[in-house]
Amino acid sequence: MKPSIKKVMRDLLSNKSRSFIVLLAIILGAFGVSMMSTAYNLLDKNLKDNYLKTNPASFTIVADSISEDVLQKVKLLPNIESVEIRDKIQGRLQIAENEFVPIWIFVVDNFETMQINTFRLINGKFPASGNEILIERTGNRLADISLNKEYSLTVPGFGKSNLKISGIAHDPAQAPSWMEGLLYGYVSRDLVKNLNIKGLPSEIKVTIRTNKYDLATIENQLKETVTFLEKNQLKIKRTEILPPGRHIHQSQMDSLMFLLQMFGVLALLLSCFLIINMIMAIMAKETRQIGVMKAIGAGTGKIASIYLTIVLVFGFAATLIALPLGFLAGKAYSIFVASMLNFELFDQQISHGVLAHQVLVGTLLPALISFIPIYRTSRISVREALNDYGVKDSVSLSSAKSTRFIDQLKLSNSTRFAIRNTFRRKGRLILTLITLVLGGAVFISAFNIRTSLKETVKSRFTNQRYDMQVIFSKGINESDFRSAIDSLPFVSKYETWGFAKATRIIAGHPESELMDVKLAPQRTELFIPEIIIGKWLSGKSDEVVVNHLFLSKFPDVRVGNEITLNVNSRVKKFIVVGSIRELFAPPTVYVSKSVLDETPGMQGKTNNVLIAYRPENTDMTANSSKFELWMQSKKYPVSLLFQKDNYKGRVIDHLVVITSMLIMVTFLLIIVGGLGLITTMGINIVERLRELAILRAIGVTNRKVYYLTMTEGFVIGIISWILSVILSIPTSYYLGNKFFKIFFETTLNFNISVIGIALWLAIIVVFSSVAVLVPARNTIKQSVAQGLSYE
Amino acid sequence: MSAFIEVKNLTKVFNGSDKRFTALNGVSFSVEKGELVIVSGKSGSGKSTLLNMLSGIDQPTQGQVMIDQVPIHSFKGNQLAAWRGSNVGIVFQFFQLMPTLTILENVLLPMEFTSIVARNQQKHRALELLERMDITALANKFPSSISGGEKQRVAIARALANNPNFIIADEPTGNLDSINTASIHQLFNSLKDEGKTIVYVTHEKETALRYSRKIELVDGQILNN
Repeated sequence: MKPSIKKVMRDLLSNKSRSFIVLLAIILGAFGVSMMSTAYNLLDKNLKDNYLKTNPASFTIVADSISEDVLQKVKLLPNIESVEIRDKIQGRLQIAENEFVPIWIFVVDNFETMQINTFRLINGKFPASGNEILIERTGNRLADISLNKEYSLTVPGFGKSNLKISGIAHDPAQAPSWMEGLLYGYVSRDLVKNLNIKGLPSEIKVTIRTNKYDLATIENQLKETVTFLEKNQLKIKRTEILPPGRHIHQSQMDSLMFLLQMFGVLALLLSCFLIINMIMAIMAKETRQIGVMKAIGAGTGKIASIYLTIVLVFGFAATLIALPLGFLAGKAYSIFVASMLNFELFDQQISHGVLAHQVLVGTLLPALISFIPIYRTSRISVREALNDYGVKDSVSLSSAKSTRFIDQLKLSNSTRFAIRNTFRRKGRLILTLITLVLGGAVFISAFNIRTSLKETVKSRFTNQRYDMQVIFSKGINESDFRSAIDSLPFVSKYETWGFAKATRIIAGHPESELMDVKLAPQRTELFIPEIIIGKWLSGKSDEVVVNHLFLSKFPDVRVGNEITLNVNSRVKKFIVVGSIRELFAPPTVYVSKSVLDETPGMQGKTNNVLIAYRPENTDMTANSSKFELWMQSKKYPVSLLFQKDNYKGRVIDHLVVITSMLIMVTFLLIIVGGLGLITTMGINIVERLRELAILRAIGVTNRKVYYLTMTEGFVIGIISWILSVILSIPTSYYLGNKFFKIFFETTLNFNISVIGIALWLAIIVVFSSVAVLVPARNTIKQSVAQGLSYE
Repeated sequence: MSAFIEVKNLTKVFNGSDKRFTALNGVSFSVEKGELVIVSGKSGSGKSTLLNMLSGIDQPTQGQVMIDQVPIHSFKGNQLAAWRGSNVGIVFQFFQLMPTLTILENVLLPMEFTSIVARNQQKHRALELLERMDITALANKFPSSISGGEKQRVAIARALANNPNFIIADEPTGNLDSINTASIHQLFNSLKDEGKTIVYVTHEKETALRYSRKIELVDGQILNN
């Protein structure tokens, strides 16, 4: 082995604590990158794989009942791969006394041969008769569902039926039941016969053979199929194309991926600055040795290569340790996210490209980023290097102006001395501050985003001043309802609304997918719209207010435009008068309740009520149970019942994957940031051991040495904290809004986390005390002579 | 035939934060091959600056330095390092050995930087030098475990590693007792006898008296040559 390499290795081994810290810094950076990229890789490919394995329909055509003959003909159309009918029934499953859960039931003609929107049986068996049902596995977290147990199903308008749970299925194409607040069931067509359900439109699911995920091909194929069906006298109600190859929770995943990437990059950046800091400290300590090596013939390149070898050795060692740990952590996190979003990690191996990227980042990146500072330091002249005695005369930042400023502060001589010392080595101070500020800014940003998320969710629900919303399957007499509900003592306020489904009609295009229409009364106190642009409804029957998700779905629509909607099979033109922000809602339009009166048979009726309980009745479950019982007694045809508290819980559940990731990042940053703080502060002191020895030699007491070093550490800590807070604002504003835009297609209610800021201050104080006290104590333990001879 | 060292009108000015300091002011002299020259003078007289100019550690503000007909004043950083490694052996007052390399490895280090000595010959050459310095037994020891006199022998062995014709010694006996000082002088004499050109900086009068060729510096100028 070459002497220079031996020197490097022995240098590292001779200062084990310093080497350990450098190693730890690189390990943490590589660990962060490895964990984030592993999670990214596993989640991305598995979500897609899980979804595609279900063979999702390329498009759906909702039409009147289709004959077997026409169905077979559709199968023979060019580029059609398979066709299946999958009708959907909406009902309510009774899970306890006066307790119901909404359920979507999919009617499957043949469980054994199904080819489109498939699912896996994971327990029990497929339903063999009309009295059996298969339940999606995530239903267990929403309701206490047991295999082979019987439950009562109510299909509004078609009565009740007792169903036995024959099996549990996994359907990764569905959002988890506990998140959506509804169960998914799969039944045979016998149930439709048993309940005598008539007039159910056929949902024709179609997959195409070539260019399966190409939207243009799918649209063309849809047009051809619709034309064919219409030629066969079939009345098309609507058509639907879901974003090809995109899982229902893809936006959630995309936003998570965005944050994973961003925090991965920031953790890496922090680790990089830590590495630069350390290597610069090592080089600063060995300045004279560098001078000697140059004096005996080593060029700048040779010196740089020696120190780059140190970084490479560290990078390699750190990668060996960090990669398996990062992989395990990334996998564990992916399993957690997969369980949250109802998919399985079928493939738990990371791609070779990702592995290569992790190895390169861990091994080569530290060397790459430290190349310039190492090269620049290696260029030191021999004379300068040999004259380095660890006590520099130059006072970089103490310009006349700053000196005057420090002098004006009514401080003791020692404090002034400590403050001046802080600013003496400009390069070192800047490097220290960059490391600390970056750590602090990312830490506070993670808190800011969490707080902003919480506040945004909170504001969403403070705008909803009702506790429960009930949707009826058919209109009920409004005045009868009013006089009946007035007798309920636990209800403080209520409003009668209307609810419908609508499609948008655009000339030359098939009708859009179904969207919710809420028909608002002239005055509403229980729903406070968050208007983004325009105004709320004035009561005119041709006005429409759309939510921001409607605008995302139809970007051609602007406030002031006219749009045509098919509401309850009545085509009507509306003027868009405003747009509201509405998180966690589907694309929805709001029109005046007077539109409901225009619907035949709906005059003086309501099918949607908002209920607010009296504040003293805090037990929402008991209130809902009482209300449910009351509705049963009145024989109201309840279709859906939303309890705001449950819904709020589900919204928070939607964000769990994001908040858990932010918590994880926060902990990682406490370690990386704290370590950065300890090492950079420690290096500052260690570099000046000789200087401190000189102070002691001229009579400065040990206590004073502690005071001087502590003051210096405190000044650096406070400066970095202030800068961290300032930098965290644009960082978290950008990251938060970008993430929210991907997830919710709207902006975040930005909030600054006082807790995050205070916590970082506490961390700064604690860690900087430790960082400064330990080397200061070591200095004092040494004799003055040892300190003076320190190299 | 030209001299081994040719210094003409050498000037070095240091620019401080508030004033300029002239360390060498128009110094000119020459040294023949195989000569041992003592450079003496008080602290601040310009001895170390002159040494830095001769060894290529620093560059002059003005003037010429020709070593064995090579104009080193016109060389830049890496060119100077390469030249130093092949042509000059430097012995420092404070030895400046690498603390984490053994004695043998310290001597091997300059050979690694220049590749003048073939790789398979390097260890043999280093052991030969240690034997000549009478410190073979210390080969595997670290600098911290040997005496000052021994360290200076190691430093001389290291300076000779690439067999340079030019040796620069900066107060090599400044930190040694009289016995070790005498032994180091013997070594330098034998090197001179081998034809090496040696520039020896000292402020010790006794040392200066041992040699015939002296350059005395006062305030950056030659008082006696």
